[in-house]
Amino acid sequence: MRLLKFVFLLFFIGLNSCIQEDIVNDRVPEELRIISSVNALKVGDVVKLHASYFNNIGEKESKTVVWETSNPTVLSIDEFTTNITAKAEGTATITVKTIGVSGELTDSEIIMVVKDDVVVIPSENTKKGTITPTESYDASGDFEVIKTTNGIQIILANNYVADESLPGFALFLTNNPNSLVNALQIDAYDDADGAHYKGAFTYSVNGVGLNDYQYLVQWCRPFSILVGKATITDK
Amino acid sequence: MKYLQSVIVIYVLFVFQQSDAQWNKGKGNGYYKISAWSLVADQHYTNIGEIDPNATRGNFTLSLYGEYGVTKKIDVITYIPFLTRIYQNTQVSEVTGNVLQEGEAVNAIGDIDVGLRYGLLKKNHFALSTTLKLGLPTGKDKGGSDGSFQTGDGEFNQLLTLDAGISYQLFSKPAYAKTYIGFNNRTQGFSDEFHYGLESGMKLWNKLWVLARLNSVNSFKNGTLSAQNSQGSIFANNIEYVSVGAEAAYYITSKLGVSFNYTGAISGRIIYAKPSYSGGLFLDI
Repeated sequence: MRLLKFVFLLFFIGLNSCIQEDIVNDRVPEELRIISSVNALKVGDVVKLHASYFNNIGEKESKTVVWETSNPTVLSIDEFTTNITAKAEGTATITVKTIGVSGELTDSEIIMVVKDDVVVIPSENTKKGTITPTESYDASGDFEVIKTTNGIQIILANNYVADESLPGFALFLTNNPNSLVNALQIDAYDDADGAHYKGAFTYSVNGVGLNDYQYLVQWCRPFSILVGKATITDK
Repeated sequence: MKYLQSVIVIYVLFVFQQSDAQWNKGKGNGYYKISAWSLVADQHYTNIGEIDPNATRGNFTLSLYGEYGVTKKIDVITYIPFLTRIYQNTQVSEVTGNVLQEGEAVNAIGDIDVGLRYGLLKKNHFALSTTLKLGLPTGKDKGGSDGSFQTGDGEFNQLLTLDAGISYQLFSKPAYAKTYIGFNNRTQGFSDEFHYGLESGMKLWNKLWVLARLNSVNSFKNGTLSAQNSQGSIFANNIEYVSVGAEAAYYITSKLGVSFNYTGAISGRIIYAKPSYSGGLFLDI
């Protein structure tokens, strides 16, 4: 009888090996970001710029924004439609503003207006970044992100390294490096083609804009470990 | 008297589950133990021996251990982890309180060991034996949503050890020391391993034994299995560690007792970096 009680006690201890909670610090700075990548317009062009507000966990939230121009004679903004019209040659800074939890948030874009017979070469369709380790696993390398017809390409340089000893390796685009919620998986160990760990490689990601994500991160997915992080910036 | 003390030492040695005893049970004698073992870890040793954080994972195992002397020199040994629970905590946002990643658990039987111990030499207070343990792949080598909740490694291994032990008096109390070396032949692409260990214990009071133990596992790194082809399994191949532990065993009656163990890895590679605890009820008949 005593033995039976002891066995029940062991089972009770086992049942108490319950799933508990790990509290994850997933706070990131709020951000207002111009998503449209426009750097040059021809006189007479009318475009609508888009901006997204990302809250303090990197989630996109709907927010009322205000657009301003530094030079209305070059670029004017329709108050109701927020369309931007290129009126004359020159350069103007378009600024978008909103009020976040932490105060006013802004983002700006310098746009050049040229004559309508000038060929515009978009120069801001490329971004870049450098992966650095966040733990003791190997994580390094440069990359570029370019805009394509259907989305973007992430072009890893020859010096790219992901740790081959890392179990459950996965690569993500995200707006919060501390959380995989809303992150977009680019590559993973359990993909049909496996993961890429070293050297030059190009990922094509359809349906994603150049400014949709701010970070490229390497994770050990099963064990929730951020091992490498890069901030994506203008080239 | 000395002979009696030696016998007591030998007797008590079998209390300690998986302690690689050097003395045979003797024909018809048996030792049986039911145990609960728990390890909860939010950090691990990486492949270069550094300590990195991870989502908290737990491993809880209920097991039966048995030794039985089929002849004077041969014992059969078995270890049956009849319930192994692998779980991971829910990941919760500090900012919003929302769940970032649901917790998960898998309950299944673990890998069963069966083996034989053969007494090679017994002279005065010295004993030499060899043990062959077969690790049967009875556990789940893939479990949970991503396959990483494993209760077994999915391979059949053979661990051959050479064990030596001596009993003596320490501060006029019965004491012993023993050591072993072993080779673990692993299959399915896992690297083979070299094992060694040291253990020393003494009888503090009439019914209480305490012991300290050091174990080490060293990978030959000759396997083909890597993190890339082991599908998210972290604690599988090329594990290395040096662990130290302490254990106390208390005899409630002459045949029935309880034991408690605390063990932690002081260095390692690809293994959790937190201590484990276990408790058990043993029967020595």
